[in-house]
Amino acid sequence: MSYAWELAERAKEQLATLEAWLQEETLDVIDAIATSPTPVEHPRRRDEFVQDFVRERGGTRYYVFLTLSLDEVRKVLRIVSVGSYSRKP
Amino acid sequence: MGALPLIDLVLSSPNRIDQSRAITSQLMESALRELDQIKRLDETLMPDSTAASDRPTAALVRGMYEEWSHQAEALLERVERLQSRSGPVEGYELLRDAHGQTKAMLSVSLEEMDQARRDVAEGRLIPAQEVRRELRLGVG
Repeated sequence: MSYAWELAERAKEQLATLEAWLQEETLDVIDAIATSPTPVEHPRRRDEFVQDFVRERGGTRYYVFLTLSLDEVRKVLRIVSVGSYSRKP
Repeated sequence: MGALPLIDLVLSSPNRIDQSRAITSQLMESALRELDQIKRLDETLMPDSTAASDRPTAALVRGMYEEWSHQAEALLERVERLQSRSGPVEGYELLRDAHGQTKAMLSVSLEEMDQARRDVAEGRLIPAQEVRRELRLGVG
């Protein structure tokens, strides 16, 4: 079942610090998670789960780390925080 | 990862490349196991977001990730030096990515995490469509 998703205000500020292309990648990943959230595969806490992904561009590796929660009643995925790190070769 | 001086020792001798590779592989495996252990402690000590908002516990756990990250970075630097002399070392990519993921997690401070959790609890949330629209307009 597909979920709607919402971003915490602070998480939006964190997302906005990413380069534009990486923002788009992040939103695509969130869309994919919202299509079929599987928190049991990525637990961190009973009421939160985490998902990270890596992208490479121009020889630099970009890491994005998402903390999320699910509202099962309203069928809403909430993005609590967006962390990031880049590593040059 | 207190064995880093061992790598320095064998790296300083051009005749001990095989030893260097073996030791770095073992240390990288050990580092990944240590990270798994920290994650398990994290999940046990802070089983939900309320517990994770307990500042003393959160700060201690974060300190463990930070110390791990610092040590992993030192190890990665040595592995990269070794790789430049003798080619790829098995396990490097795994540790590099585990380190990158940990640094990405640590990029969110405890204060930011607390604020974000308050945003969620108090309904300060932005719907997906609005997020996309604002980011495309360069707002925020």
